Amino acid sequence: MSSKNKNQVSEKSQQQQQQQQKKVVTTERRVPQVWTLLKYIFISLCLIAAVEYFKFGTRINYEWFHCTPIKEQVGGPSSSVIKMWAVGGPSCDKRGEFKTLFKRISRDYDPNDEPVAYCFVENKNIPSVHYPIENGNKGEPGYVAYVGYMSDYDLIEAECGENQIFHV
Amino acid sequence: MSENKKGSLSAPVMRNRATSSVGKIDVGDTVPGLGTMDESKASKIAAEERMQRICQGDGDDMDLMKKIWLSYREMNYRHTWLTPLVLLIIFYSAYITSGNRTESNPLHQFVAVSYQVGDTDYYGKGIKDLSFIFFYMIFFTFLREFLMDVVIRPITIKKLKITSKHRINRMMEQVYSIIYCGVSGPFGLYIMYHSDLWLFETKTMYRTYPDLNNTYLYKLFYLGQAAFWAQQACVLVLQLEKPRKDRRELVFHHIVTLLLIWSSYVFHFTKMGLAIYITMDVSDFFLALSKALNYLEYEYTPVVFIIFVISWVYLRHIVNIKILWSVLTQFRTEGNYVLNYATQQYKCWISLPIVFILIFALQLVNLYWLVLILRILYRAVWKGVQKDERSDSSESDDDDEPAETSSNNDNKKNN
Repeated sequence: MSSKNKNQVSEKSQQQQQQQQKKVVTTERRVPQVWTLLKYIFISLCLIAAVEYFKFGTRINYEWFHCTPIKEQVGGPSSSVIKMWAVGGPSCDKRGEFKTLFKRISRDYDPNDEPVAYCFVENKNIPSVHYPIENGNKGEPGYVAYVGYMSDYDLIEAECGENQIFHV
Repeated sequence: MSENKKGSLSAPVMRNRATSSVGKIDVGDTVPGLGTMDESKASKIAAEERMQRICQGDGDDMDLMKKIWLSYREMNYRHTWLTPLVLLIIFYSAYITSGNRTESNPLHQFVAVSYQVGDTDYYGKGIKDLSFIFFYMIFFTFLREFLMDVVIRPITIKKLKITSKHRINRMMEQVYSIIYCGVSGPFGLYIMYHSDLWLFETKTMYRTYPDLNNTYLYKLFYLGQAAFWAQQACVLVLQLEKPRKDRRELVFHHIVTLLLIWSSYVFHFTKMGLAIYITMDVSDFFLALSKALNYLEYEYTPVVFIIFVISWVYLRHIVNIKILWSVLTQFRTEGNYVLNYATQQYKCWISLPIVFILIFALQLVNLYWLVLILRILYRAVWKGVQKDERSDSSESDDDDEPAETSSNNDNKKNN
């Protein structure tokens, strides 16, 4: 056998050895990856739980995403009285509007500073779900709220008219 | 044997088309079963140690208990369907003997579909559906391993006279796929036929959105499929099988599929999901049939392979692209198209790109496999040469290894 052929045979045997070693390594690595499976199951369950929580949270607090409160000051810069209403898409129904307005009243006015008075004026001419999808011409709001501190009570009383005024 | 230019001896990778084979058709989204996977060296040594320990011991009660445990482990090692069967028997017997087969029974959520709406045929959705999927993942593990070990393997060896261990394993997998897809495909088509979605109608996918409730069969099919794919994903994550060349694509396909199943279910796009399921199942049926006939070197394999290619192109591409196109054109116009969390109306500008990207990702993986399929077809038709570009690198090592025929389960032992 020539030296060239010998070299080729030895090269081939080396390659075979390397392939065998590689095969042993890959075979040894194929043990059940139980921890990996548990890790993926845990991640998947967390993802499922997160989405379910998101769905639940948005159903309970959907007004966070769909009703935007709009404020307008009444009675000049020194007045604490504000006129508020909420706008949004169809999901901003009267329930969402009411919830949004009351949340703003309870958060923006602190009875510890001064007693607060407010009223809700309902638009009875429109149904519960009334906002159209189109931007711009959304129509009238379902509720308008007037709120202010007791020092501006006269102004609140004038704006609320015959509607019930609440005190907190 | 042939001599290449460098002079070294090497086996030819190509063979002439002397048989009816169209070459290796190792494409598709099927994950091997537990029973057909190759053993690791460690598991073989562990099995030998168990057998030695069973044969030893001093014979006291404790020793007997240990032997019973070791015997069970060894049996479970040889028959991978044993533990799933034990779990199924425990669950079913506890449920049946409890006498309460209503939803108030905590076991009901595992064995039966939950959330029936009054006395109607409609069912809602909820967290209990996860229990159902989990339980039927065990069921599918049992079904697959049992059918392969007890039914398909003996037929393959005794009736079909296949002796190569590798071919027996591949036949077992493909015949199981034929059985599964042969049931799930027509089942899905039956549901589609009795709905407003026949035949892959896209407009009606969106008109009734959100589909908060589904009929009994619809929900059973949907969750059963979810269990099947989740079970396959678990086997894939366990990394027991030899890594295929297209492992990345396979993993990607499973991630996309599971994301589609889960998101379509929780966000009420189940009508879209049914069509996707059917496209996968029916094409997989012809794929498995082609593979099985190819292993048998059946005379009409090329014909079946061409039918498979047609079904693959129609279902996984034409129908899939039709659905994709409908996402772009009908998703907005048919049915509600507004985000409303209160009514779980998620068909809106946010979900549109998500739905499109997920189905498009599925389409990309299918396209990848289509290229491989067309290459096989091209070689089979024009060149008469068959070599699969995707098959695992070490497949040929055990390709012709004879199987142990004396026992229907001892091939593992005799590796």
